[in-house]
Amino acid sequence: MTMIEITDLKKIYRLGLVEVPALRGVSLNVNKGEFVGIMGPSGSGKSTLLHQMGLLDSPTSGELRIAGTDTSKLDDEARTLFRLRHLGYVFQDYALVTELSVLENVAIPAIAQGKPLTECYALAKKMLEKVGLEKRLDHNVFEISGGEQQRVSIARALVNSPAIVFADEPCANLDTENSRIILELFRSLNRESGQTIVMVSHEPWHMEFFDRIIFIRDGQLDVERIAKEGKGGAFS
Amino acid sequence: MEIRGYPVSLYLAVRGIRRGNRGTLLLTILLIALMVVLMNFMVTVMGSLITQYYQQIIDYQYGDVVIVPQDKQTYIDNAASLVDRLQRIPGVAGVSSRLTTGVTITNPQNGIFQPESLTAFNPDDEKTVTKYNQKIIDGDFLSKDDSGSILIGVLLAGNEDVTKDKVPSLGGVRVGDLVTVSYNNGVMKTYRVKGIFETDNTLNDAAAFISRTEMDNVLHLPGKATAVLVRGTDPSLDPAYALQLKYILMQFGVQDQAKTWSEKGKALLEDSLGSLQKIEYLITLVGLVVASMVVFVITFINISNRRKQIAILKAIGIRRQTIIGNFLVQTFFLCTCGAAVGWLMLEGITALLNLYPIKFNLGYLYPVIDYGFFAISILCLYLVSLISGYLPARTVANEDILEAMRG
Repeated sequence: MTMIEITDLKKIYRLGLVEVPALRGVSLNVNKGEFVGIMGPSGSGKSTLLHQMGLLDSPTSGELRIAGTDTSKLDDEARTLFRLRHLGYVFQDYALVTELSVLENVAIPAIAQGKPLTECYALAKKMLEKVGLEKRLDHNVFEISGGEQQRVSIARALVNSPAIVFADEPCANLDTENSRIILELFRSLNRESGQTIVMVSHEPWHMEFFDRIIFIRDGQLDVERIAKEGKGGAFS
Repeated sequence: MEIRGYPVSLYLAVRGIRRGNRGTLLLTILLIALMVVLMNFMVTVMGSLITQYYQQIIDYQYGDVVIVPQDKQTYIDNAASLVDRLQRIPGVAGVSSRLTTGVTITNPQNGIFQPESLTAFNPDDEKTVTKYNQKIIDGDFLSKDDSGSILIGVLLAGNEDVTKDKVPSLGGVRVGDLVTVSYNNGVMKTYRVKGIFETDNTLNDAAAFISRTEMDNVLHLPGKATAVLVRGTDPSLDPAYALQLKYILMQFGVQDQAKTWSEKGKALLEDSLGSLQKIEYLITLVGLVVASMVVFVITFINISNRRKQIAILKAIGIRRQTIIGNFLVQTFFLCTCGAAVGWLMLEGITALLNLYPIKFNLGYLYPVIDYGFFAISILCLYLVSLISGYLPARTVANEDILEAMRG
């Protein structure tokens, strides 16, 4: 089953009078249960592509369907609700809310869904157990290490059982050991729960964790490299 | 599934307040409290001044109702019988007939003289209406048959060093001293100062009184009066009470012009208090503007510092209204705490000023909080603060997620 369908997606940023094309017509599909890596050199457009797929930004043109929904027809409010109900995010800098405890950070997307608070906390605890942080529930986020913060971020991304988890260079601020813990966590979530994951990375050693790799260069798919190193799969 | 935005706002706000910067929180509450004090203090003082002023008018100048001669008449004729009639009316506690004339009072010891209004009354009747008899600071009050005695106010008596005087005085007259009074009919009489009074009101304390018996000996106007003061049984400051008393007097056939203390002192009240009230409103307005600016700046800084946090919340699917609601709840909390602390501060200042009153021209100031105005000022504070909190919150909540996340 196709989870994400992208057709001729373009994104042009305007810096004053100058137009800077970040995506130049990308077309690809992501299937349900896939762990897809997006890789490419710095400034290639991989984060821009992830932001379009995660509905954090709007493309200039092209079509983006997520789980069959044409996202171009969603207004700002609908996109917000779509993100809440169907998508999960893991950011490079963890992006945790400093005024919330570890447990509350994980629970907040569930609370926003209108679930009873006790149920939200139970779900959050379950997720934190899954990422190995069951002993850190009441800690403030600044009291735990970077690797642990990123695991909190992953637990938060998963608490609403999203259709897709987007991870934007989640290991960029972590050492190799913590990076491996995070990647293995993603790998096991994908393997055990069939979680669809789309992750941006620029570290070659991460490639071994992905089912499929989409290489981006100058805002376009690097078809040649995909054919060579991308582990196969359908791109359009 | 239903998205319940406002409980999430409350959830975030409670944690924001609990885990936010304590120093900033306390400073903000203190600033709002000071604004509350600023908005209300002037009204509190003004209210006290106005009350004091009303009380002074009733206690020393007019009683509750004053009866004055008909238009184009100088005197009330048959004042004695009018007094008798008035004293029998239910609800009347006291009546005093007064006769006032222009004189020149001279202190023969230093030759200083002052043109003054000299008022005569029956001391026994006067005690039932005014409170001069309770304000004697030296000597005694007049008695009915006093013929060579005069009662003068402390400011008219003055100081030997006249530079210390607030108003033109006789340059240091004491009880037992002699003063010369020149009447407008050419009679000149010498009186011994029997008593000196001090009411704490500049206007009253520059007055002089003699007994009615004595003035009748000089002016030969028996039974005539320039005013008859009436005091009701209820010590009320409410103008409606005096008006009711006036109507009762009229029902009992009082033909002369009866005026309540507020009608009589209306022009003076409007002149002196009207301009003060404008200042009062201006200060309140300034207080409100400053309070709203404080809340705006604090909320703006608070929100600007949390741009990234707001973007994170938006990114994970928290609705814009929820984020704005979070800041509105926090603003509401700050206002509530600020209002409560401001109220306590105002109560404290008021209690302190009642314990150690400050003396004004109208007497000692005993401030009283106007709770009606306080409630209005707090409502206005909430309104402007919520608007001031809403505007920056909406601006940041509308920002592009990625731009805000980059900080």
